[in-house]
Amino acid sequence: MTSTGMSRNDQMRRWQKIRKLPENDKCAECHAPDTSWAVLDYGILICINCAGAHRAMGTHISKVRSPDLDQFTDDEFTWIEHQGNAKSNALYESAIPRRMRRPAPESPDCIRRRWLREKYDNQLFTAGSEHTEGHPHETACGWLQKRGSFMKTWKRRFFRVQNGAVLAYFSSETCDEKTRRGTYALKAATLELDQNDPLILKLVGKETKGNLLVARAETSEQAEEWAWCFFQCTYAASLG
Amino acid sequence: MGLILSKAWASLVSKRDVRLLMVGLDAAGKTTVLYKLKLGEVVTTIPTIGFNVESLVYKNLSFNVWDVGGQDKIRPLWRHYYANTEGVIFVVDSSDRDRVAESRDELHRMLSDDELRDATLLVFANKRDLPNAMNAAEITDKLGLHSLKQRNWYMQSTCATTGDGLYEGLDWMAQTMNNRK
Repeated sequence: MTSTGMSRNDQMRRWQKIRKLPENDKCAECHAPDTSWAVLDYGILICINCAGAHRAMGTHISKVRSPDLDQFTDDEFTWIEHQGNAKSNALYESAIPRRMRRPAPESPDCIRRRWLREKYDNQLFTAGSEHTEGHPHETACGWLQKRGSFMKTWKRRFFRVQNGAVLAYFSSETCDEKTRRGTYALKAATLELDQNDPLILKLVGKETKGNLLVARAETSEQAEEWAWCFFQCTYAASLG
Repeated sequence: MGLILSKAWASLVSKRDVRLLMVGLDAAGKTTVLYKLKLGEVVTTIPTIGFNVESLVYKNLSFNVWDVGGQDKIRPLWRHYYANTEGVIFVVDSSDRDRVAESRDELHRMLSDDELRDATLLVFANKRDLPNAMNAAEITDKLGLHSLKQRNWYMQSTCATTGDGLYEGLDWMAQTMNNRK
């Protein structure tokens, strides 16, 4: 490798030190306890799932390496030692909206990827960004197929998030009382995705399991947009 | 007569097994290529520690594709997969200009192994959709492919997430394998 490459032992010793620093005790993104991967661009430590999502953005945004499996240079380690998760997030999340939710260790990959896209590519959570107040998805709307709760048939419905807390659905875009077909409280729900069908979105009641809403998007882009919207709104609604 | 017919029939229905090894630097897109070909879908990938293997039936061939992780320290393990490999798919990230020289070194080191002397080489210049990606001619040049004597090679630019270019590459591989038998 390069002339500034470290010996295997030196590398492992320094890496163990970096991992033990309190600011690096969890994944910089989803807060999972796994910190076995590093992103050279930002000097952060992340888990393997976030490593997959980071590198999916391309090397012009993220260069992901494993200190256990890749050779590092002296400079690369010096940078990570200097930067670390706390400092990097203080920058890239300096103006994060209070009600913006970060991915959890068990979050679906599309949520993780969207988070990273907004954070690093669009730099939406950085000071100077216009999006520090509220969420655009707290007023999201659009067409989805909704599965009947008794008859399991699919019906085309116009969905609209109201006040960031209630999901209402209508038979037409006019969204009036006459065309309203139902409402769903986002506060007490969690988002679930279907492993086999990426177009399906499920909202599941936290306490009463019966409170289930199943919808289907037409394209995977739409499904991902709604998944992000539901992921954020269910959280924001629970904060009140 | 019966023998000739049955042989002709066998050649129509039987699928010859071909072992392919897919390697390249980490994050080049190998696993995404593999599952896009196998399932027609873009799967969520995490770094491959170890390998994935899938069989792909294509044309009259049954490709056994071994996708082996590309991190620095696991590259020396590639050679354990060389035996009986008829074709190598080498995947390069077209947008990773910083590491194309590293890619070239790994490629030439691998091809110098005697076990791969007869293996054909298909290069996937992947992620061609990303900004500032190198084109096929530039990558061919930077990987030093023209210096490969006696080697049957083919360069194909691809975008594994849309599938663009993958089957063009596989077509070439299938044709090459069929000319061989």
